Amino acid sequence: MELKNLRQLANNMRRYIRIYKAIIKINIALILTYRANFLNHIFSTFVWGVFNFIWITLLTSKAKYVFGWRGDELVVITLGYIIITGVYYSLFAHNFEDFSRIIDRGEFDTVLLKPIDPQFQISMLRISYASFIRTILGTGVLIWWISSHHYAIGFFQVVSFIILIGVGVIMMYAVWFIFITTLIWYPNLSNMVDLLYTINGFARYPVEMLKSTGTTPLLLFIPLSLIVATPVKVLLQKNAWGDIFLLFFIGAILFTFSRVFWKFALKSYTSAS
Amino acid sequence: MKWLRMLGLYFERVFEYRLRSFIWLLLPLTNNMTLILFWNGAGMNTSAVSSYYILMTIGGLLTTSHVEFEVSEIDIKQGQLVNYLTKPISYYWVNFFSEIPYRVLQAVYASILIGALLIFFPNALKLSLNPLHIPLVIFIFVLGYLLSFTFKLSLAYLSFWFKDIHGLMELVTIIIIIFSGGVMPLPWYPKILQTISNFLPFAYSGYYAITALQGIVPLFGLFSIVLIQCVWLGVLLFINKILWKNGIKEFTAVGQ
Repeated sequence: MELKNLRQLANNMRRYIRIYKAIIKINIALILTYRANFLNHIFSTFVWGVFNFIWITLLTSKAKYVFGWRGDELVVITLGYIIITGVYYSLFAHNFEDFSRIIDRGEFDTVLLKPIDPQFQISMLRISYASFIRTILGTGVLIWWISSHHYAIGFFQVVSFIILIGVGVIMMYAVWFIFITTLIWYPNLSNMVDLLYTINGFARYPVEMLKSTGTTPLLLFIPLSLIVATPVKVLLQKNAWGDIFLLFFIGAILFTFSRVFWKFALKSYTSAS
Repeated sequence: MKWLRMLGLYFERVFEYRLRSFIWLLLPLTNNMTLILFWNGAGMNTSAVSSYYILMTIGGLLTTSHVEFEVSEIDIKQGQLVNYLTKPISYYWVNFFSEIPYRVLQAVYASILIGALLIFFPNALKLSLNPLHIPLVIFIFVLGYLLSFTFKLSLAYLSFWFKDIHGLMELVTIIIIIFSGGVMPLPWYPKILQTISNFLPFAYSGYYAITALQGIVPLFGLFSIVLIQCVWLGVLLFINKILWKNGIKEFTAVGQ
């Protein structure tokens, strides 16, 4: 019986991988069809990446030491943020932008009728290749920054940084998905995604910033600030064991909760546009 | 009378989506709150810093226009502009009045939030405004809004010539944030950026309005802010008129 279940799971996985390969190809075809739009997106993504760098450079020109982080280390957090948001915005964020329209116009019915998991469809159909430019930009500047500041970084730190960034992307996905799910009850809130882009900004700062407030509503955003600060702490060889544990633990809880919450919310969907 | 009726209709529309409007308020509030926390961690004078960012939130809500998306995407690209061209009303003023209810509702939300904040943190906001200067400060806010509105509307008119100005809009947003003191107070910027900022209109929209509200600008300084705002407004209105006059020739609408 268990072997049968495992085989079914493996078949399911293979099926979704096949579907995702098709999605990748379709999105490449879209780039070739709307080339000007693609270039426009590359431009805007690039300028926002540069803006984040200018932002922290301006702040650290006045603040040399913030919550135990030196100015140059805060720049590393921002570069980590640019890298992680590049990956996240490429794979997921633009899908969520469409969701409020899908719900509001009653198009969600067609999503539910397809023999593919609705969460998969809502989260993965669009890939914004243009947003990867942010990751490339962030990685390039990070390498330059690390070499110009002579940080002692080994192979272990780099691998851990990459793994933790992957965990961070999953956590960011879970946080966004929980918020997005509420659109099933409040379809008019089409600016929810704009709010999510803004609260994502918490990830640009050290986690100690939110911890220091001790205010419950702000402490709720700690998961977001763990997403970037933890990999950067590992990269810079700061003591991060507590944060690594929190990142994995909260990440797992949020990811599971997002799935349960989604299933629960689907029961409230009335199919009316 | 017709403008009053239109204003009433726009108010109805905005109040129908109150929660949506509340979320728009949360965006600058969240951004500025993180900056207050940041400077707190840097050991800066908390009261002065929080005053600045709280007022920047209010200033931004009151003086920053967001007319560009609707004009560019809906009216020009999707052709809804044709509805206005056939009516005996000015397109500039239609957009102007359609924005007013948003500003009013957001100002109400902001007042409630800041009022609540001041109950818990009475030292978070410091104002030393001379009551006699109040009419002039209100005038500076009105001019600041007009500056932002005219600039954004002119930017949106570029859609008459370009298929997609999304990238340009993003770039302009970033330039506005930097040169209007969105990151930190302008005197904290490097000299070169301060100089550039003085030659651009963006700081005269929200930044100088809130410095006037703080009461740190003497009477003469208030008059010079008004003068520079008027000069910029004149320039932008001229550009706006030219863009509209030429842009409308590029516009075509097809239907059966």
